[in-house]
Amino acid sequence: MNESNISLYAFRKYGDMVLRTAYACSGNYAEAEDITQDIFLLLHTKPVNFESDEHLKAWLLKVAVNKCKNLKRSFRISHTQSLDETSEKLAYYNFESGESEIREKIRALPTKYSSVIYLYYYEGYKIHEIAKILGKNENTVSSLLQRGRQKLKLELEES
Amino acid sequence: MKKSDYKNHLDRIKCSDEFKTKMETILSAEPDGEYADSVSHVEYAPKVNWSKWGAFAASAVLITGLCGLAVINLKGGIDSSMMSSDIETSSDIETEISEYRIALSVMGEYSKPDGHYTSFGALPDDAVKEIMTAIKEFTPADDTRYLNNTKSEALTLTIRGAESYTLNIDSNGCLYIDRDGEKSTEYNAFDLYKSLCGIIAKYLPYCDWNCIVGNIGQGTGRRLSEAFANHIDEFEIIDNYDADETEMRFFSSGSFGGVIKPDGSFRILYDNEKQSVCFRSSPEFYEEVYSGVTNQLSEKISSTKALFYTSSQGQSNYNFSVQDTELLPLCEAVEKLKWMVHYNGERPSSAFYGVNTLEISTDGTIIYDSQSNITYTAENQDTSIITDTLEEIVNSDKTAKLLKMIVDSENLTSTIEGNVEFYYTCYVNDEAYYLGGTGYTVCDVKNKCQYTTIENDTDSYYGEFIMQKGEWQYKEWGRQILNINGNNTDERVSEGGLFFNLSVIAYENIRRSLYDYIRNMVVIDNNSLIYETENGITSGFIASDFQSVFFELDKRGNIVLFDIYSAKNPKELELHFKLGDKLGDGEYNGIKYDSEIAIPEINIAEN
Repeated sequence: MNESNISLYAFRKYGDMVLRTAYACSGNYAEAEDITQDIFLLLHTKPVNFESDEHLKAWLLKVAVNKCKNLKRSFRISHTQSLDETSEKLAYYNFESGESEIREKIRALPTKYSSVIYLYYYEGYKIHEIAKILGKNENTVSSLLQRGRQKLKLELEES
Repeated sequence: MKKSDYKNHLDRIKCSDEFKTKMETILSAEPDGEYADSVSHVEYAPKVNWSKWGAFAASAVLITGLCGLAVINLKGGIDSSMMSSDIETSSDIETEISEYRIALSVMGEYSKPDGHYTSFGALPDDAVKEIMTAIKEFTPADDTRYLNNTKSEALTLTIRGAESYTLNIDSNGCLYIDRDGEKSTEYNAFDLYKSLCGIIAKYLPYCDWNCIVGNIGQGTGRRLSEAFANHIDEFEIIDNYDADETEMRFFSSGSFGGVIKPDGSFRILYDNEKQSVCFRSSPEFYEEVYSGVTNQLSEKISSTKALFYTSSQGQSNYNFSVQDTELLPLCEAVEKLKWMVHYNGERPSSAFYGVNTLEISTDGTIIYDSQSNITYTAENQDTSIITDTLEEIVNSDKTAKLLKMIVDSENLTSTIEGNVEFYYTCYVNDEAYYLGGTGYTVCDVKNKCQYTTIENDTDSYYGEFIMQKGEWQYKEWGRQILNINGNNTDERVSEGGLFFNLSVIAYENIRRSLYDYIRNMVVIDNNSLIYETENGITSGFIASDFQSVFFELDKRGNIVLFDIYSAKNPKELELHFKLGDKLGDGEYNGIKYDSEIAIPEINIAEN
């Protein structure tokens, strides 16, 4: 791990992951970008020593989840986007029309569920690992996973 | 949603080239001072030095709010790899605001859900901020004397979410943290308690009143909630407020309370009502609050079809009910009056009408709700509309009408027309005797008599109403024990009680048992005495534990006189009875009997 500029290193290695995490928890790509920017800029101004890449990744995930929770609590979302910008973003991500439903479902899901859903089904973390990342106990994570799955009506196969 | 759809959707999320370029540029440059978070509401509050508070290692103090305040996470010690040393955002706390409980507690039992507590629901953001600030700025006192006092009331700030944390602080200043059942060390936080109470009082008008007052009726809670919500924009804290007799209490919970005046100004009381926060509002708000508080009267009256009447006279308690009756007129009568609300106020004594959990005084001036312990008074008003309505309801049922007279020991002279027979249930406590059971009463208007019997599984009672000197008199005759010794027999033993003149029905019911006495007397047992008077009348006397029986026989062996004297006062004649019953065959020494002979004076002598 390159310690000379931890924030740049982290962004290059985990930038997409952070953005994806923020999006998976918020359902809003514009806000996900802001969150991603905030995290790496914060790391840039207040560097932290990490023991390993895995440690860094876990830290980024946790902070991303936390910021999404703060975002959803906030009633004064300062960032707004014009329709033109929205179309531009959609074009970039090349979303198909049918994916808007998925996006809405993710957006509607509370962060406490979306975060564990994402970490479990996308990042592939185990329950105990998610518990450690998010600072919750394992039973809680299991419960949130189950409820989140019900809310998303995910048809999930056991791996 | 399929798992594959979910993953495929997220796979598309990548940093755009534009975003990458921007970030590369920024992150390659030297940091420029403190970064201002573009995602607002992530505040890093000044760190509180909790170390001097001692062992919090096993507990966590997490107070959260809707605006993402920073909190102290001491869970399992401090993780140095986390950013900003001891402080992290409160984002790992659930978004739902905690329930704040005001618990009236003794001996430190704050968290009993079935105790006397009031839930205030979620406090507004600003309240949470102030509470957070108060907690962070607080320093425990060195003086620990408060910790040993009797705990009377406590605030519990509870966080609900993935994990639950509570901060408990009581009115004596004792503070501790409870996390998953692990209780922290106790600290002296008396000043903090007062501060928190003041903050809560300031924001109570903005809370969910449906939650706060829900325990006194859903309709009332809902109406108060609507009233507060409808006028929330009017609320303004004021300094000038004159408390006067027009204040009506609309809320009471522990040391918090609420009173309101007709002009809409109201006070939220706290610190055992020694302090208050005063608000301005409108008369319309007062009307809505008043309606909400008194609404439960109408609710409770209209939800039942039974009216009870209870009268306590000394040790005796009488009651009866009018079943399946329309109480809408009573509801309307109550709504026509203006009621003052009192908590822990006066309740009707001796006699009152009962409707649902309401107790209505016989003069209609007091209505007490035994469920909520609220007293409503109609002061300086004509409450005859209440009393007239109640009397009409009672009189509409002839049984209830008569029973009320019985219970009230009223003059029944001209109240009954025609014979009346009815069954009822009656429970009477009369000093050493308990009367209870079902019975029947026959009113013989022609002969101006009423005969009453009551029976239960073990006892039977006989009573009579008689017209004496133009007035009805209700008396209880006595008590008989049935099925004594647990045997299913008809063996009857007469016990004491108050005796009075018997009448036809009573005679029929007791004659059999009295006959046993007579037969015993004829046998002349150890408790009997037969002697001759100077006029040659054979008479007898039997003494038992409870009464003394004197009788006289005519020459045919018929009882012509039968008196029962109270054991308490042998010379006091309590019962005079004529019984034309044939005793049976026997010789009576040729003595001539005359039924008209007056009762001689009895000289009780031991056998």
